[in-house]
Amino acid sequence: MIRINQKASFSFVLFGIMISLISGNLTLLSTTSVIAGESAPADATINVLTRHSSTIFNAVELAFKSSSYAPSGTIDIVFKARDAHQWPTYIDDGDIDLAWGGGPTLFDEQMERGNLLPITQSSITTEIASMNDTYWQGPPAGTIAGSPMYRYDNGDLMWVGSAIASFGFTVNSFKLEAQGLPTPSKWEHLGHPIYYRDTPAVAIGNAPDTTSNTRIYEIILQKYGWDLGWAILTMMGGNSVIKTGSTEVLVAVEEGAVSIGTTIDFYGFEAELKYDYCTYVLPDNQSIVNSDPIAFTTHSHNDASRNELAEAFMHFVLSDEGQAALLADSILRMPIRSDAFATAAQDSDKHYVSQLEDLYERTLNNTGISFNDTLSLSYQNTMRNYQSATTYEANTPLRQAAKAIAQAWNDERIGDAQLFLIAMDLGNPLLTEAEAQTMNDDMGDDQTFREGKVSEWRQAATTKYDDVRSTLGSMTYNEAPEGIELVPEYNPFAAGRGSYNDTSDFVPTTEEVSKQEGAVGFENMAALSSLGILGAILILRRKRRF
Amino acid sequence: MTVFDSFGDQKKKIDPKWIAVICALVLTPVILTLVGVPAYIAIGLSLIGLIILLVSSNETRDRMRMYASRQWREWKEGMDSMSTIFVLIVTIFFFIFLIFPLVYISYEAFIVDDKISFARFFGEDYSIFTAPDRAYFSLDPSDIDGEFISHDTTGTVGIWKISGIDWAIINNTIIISLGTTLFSTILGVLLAYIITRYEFYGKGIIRHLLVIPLIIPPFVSGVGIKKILFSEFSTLNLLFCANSPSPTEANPIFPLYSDPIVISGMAAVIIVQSLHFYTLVYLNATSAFANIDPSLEESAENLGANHRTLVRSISLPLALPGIAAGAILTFILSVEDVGTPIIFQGTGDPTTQVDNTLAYQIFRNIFDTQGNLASWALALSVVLLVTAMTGFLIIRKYVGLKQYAMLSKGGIHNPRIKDADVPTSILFYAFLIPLLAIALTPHLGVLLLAFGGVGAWGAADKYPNEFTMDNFDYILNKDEATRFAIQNTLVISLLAIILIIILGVFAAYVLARKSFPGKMLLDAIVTMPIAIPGIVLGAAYFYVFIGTPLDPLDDPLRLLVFSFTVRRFPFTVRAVFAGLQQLNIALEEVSWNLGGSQSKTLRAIVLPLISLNILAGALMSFVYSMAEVSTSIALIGTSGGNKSTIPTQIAERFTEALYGSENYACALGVLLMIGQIISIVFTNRILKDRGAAITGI
Repeated sequence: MIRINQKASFSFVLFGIMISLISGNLTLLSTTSVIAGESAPADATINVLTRHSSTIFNAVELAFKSSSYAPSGTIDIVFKARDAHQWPTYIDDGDIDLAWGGGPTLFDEQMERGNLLPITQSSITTEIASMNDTYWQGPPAGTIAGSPMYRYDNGDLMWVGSAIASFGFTVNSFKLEAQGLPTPSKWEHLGHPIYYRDTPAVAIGNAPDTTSNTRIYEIILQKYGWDLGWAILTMMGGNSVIKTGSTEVLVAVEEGAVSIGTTIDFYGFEAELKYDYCTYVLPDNQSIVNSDPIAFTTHSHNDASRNELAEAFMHFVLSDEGQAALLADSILRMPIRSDAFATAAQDSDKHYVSQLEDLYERTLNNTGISFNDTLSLSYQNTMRNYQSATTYEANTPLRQAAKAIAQAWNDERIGDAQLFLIAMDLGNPLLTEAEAQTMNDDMGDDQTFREGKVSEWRQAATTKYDDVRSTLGSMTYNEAPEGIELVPEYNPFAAGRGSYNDTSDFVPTTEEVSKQEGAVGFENMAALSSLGILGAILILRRKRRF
Repeated sequence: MTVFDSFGDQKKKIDPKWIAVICALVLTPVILTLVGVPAYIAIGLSLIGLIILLVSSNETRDRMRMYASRQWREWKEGMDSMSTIFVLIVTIFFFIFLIFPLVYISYEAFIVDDKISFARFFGEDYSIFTAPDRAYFSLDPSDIDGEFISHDTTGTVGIWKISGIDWAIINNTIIISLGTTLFSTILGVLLAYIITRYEFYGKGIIRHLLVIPLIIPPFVSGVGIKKILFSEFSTLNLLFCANSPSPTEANPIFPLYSDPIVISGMAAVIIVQSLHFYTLVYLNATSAFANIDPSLEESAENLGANHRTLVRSISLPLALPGIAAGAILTFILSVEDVGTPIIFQGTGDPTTQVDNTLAYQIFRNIFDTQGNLASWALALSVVLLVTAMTGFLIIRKYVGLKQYAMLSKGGIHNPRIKDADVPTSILFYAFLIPLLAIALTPHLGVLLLAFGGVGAWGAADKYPNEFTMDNFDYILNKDEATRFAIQNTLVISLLAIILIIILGVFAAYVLARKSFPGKMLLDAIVTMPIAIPGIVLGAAYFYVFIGTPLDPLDDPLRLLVFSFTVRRFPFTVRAVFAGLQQLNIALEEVSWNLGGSQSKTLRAIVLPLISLNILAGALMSFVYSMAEVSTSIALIGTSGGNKSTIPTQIAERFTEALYGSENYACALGVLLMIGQIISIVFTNRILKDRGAAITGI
């Protein structure tokens, strides 16, 4: 009997451990600091869905807790950093209070799904009303450089911008010099054969993997229209290495693997702050300002202290103090209110604030595109997958075509006009804008459909690139083909040869030329290794004699 | 000894009737799904059909009854009720957290639109073996793009590029793995031979330094080696390249070659993996060389064999099983490695060569669709799983051989160690010192970045121009995420270790002390995790546990406890098993004779006596749990925030590009290394020379 009891208790304890583990009672692992004892009425914990990285939300959380905006009592904010496509699932779950960061497109999508609550709290509306800035006016106009800072739905305020971002490229001056390239100043420069190098000079992002690069492609498509836009994007892809994340693009620039990378502004500024050879370039009148929204989400609880905490957090983020917190060196986000710079300047750690303010002013004076959010949203899924299929997955044939184009250009077998036509051929979209809009929903939801299309596009693009390459081989004309009239302003590559050759950066200096002529070659290496081999042979021979 | 050995005694001539039955069994569900029956019902119906068929025939019914009663008799003879409970618990655990997820994901790979289909493997469009553009698999050499070495002269400064080729996903993976295996094996065997057969000045230190690459922090290791050796602006190029790429450091110290050398793509992956995995071959080969009976070599010498003949025909063949085990393990780990491809993504010429590898493609496509792998990635998972399992089966065969070789000797010998003369020593140093310098570069790079100021190691700097403790101050005092990561990692690893110890003792006890039907199978199951690609297991967990209390979307950390338990189980089982083998069973018999029960004997006699082995095994499991990458990254991703472990936190910092994040990631890597080194030193103190537990083979 005793034996049975012992055995039984032994296995019972074991199963107990397993079951308790399985049932998920691992309170130790919870990110919320567990508070022992009964909770006071003001205690609250809110869940915030975010696209920000932990560095950002932890820093802002810390600033919030030590500010006067934080309600008394034990409070906690749990950030859930989740991919964009997971957001509806989390909000539907009913336990999310706030959504913060991730771009207007994502927030518009949530709004259309009915996942956002109207912002009616007086503390916040008063704060917003008080924000009248040099650069923008408060609601209902509410735009910075043409980009909306608020979204209204049937007269209700649904989301507010909490920071702004612009898009451009980060360049590495050392690598530009080593590759003999001028600093680009427009998006289309990145697609010009001048920027072709066997080791790619440009890094861009694979659209499905990076929202910032997706926005850049949308800007280009809106600026130049569907056909010409794809011609530029495809030519860009031919000059580029495609990275599967926006960080990888920046790192490639910083470490000198490439000369130029397409980045969001705060990535570029981070590089500038770290390395003096890195510079963030705003394309001349070709950027837009994007807001980074914050909003209340629908939830199933009705907890007053939670709602109060959520309100206080949003209030803080929009306040002068909260905006200044975004200027910490680990964050470097552009605020929506310019008085944040003055507040931040009082902090001696933030010695770079004046540089940032300068960039802020340049950004706001340098937008040149009236961006249509609805349009970009209407074909976004298709566009991302199409970009990925034709430039990332078919990158090798595209690079080979770009190399052939660059050779033809350098041999002066083709001129501006032919280049334009070749680019239009190379980038000739496999679908119209309307088709892209029609299939947009299926591209998002239907996995089988999406994979089929991506595979089809990849194969079609490969054929197209190989065709362009083979026709280029025999191409010797130097004039525009008959029957096609080119409007110079419409040819983004037209400034081509002339203007680039004038750029003094592009011509190697005499010093560099002599450096190349006086190259040492592998002689030293060869001499050294032959010495080593000789030594080894001698030693081995001696050894055998023993 | 293979997994299948326990079934070997049933080998009989197969009745053609049964072939027809098996064909029908395979075809029935396929046909049923074609007429619209859901796949799982179709399979279930066929199985029920088979059972009815078996039971309806007298002959098979008798045979089954006889087989069952024989197995039952064997079970009753070999097992007591405590051991039965042990086997049940271990089996249930491994069924839930290993077998079922893997079977399920393999099953999913053959289901298209609720029908059983091979379309993902041999279909028309995007099937992996027959896709028209051969993106996944190719046998056609004309699909190869790029060359291993090329000279780029399109820029102002030329570049020597050592990269690789882009063929197809499976091809690239095999090329990388074979390259890694080849280099690791050559290095490992050479080193093992030198260390086991020669005595020279400084050998003690070198022997310790040689195993350091076993401990390497994930992700950040690539940053250091890139900055020092691989990139255009590397320390190497700044020091020795005549055409210095840097305008501010135009004069190299000693110009050795003209244009900067850039190592990227496949070549970089192979080098980094080889520098890590050669340790596995080295450790296995060392024990293999040490175990060779010296009398065999002496006889050969007496018969007039010279040194070369001796090595070629005596030493190497005898050590081959051990070397092969290490090499195959290297192959498996290289195939499933996802950390290194993440570092070198988008490098090389063509730039997609590293992206086009199995583990990386699976990793990327888990995140695309919220737990639903892209359908072709599912098929790739199965290919990866099959590749790794094949390696595992071969390795078990070789471990068996190794035991056979060891039986033929007997006792422990004085190994044949020669004193190296001066020229030989110089030759050794000329080989070992550069090798160690390269092998320790990743560690050096991580240290330099961890202690270097933010932005202090730019493209034109040979090394950081400012050293500081600020990075550690930041991650430990100013940022919550790191503290959460450390806490999570420790808690998860500890919980996993508790489970590992309990289940590991159960498993090792029954494997060492009992004989029962299916023992080889249990042995195989508990050793197998070492060969299971973590990325596939992570993907499978997504499929299986979504919507259960262990939902990874809810909290990936809970599930990690179990994935750590499964993946790090073999280390402990092997160590405990070894302890039990050394423990004389007479001690247990004394306890039984004195009236001690099974469980009392286990608690009062066995456990205290093998506690050191348990501790050592658990510590090794702990060391590797802390640094677990693939299932963590599959379940948590690179944006876990406060719900991350140390490795995924490193990955997150590494991929966020905020001011100082690279340095902070390296500082965290240094902390991880310190934690691991402490555990290993501690383990070695306990284990002394029983180093085999480290590799789990």
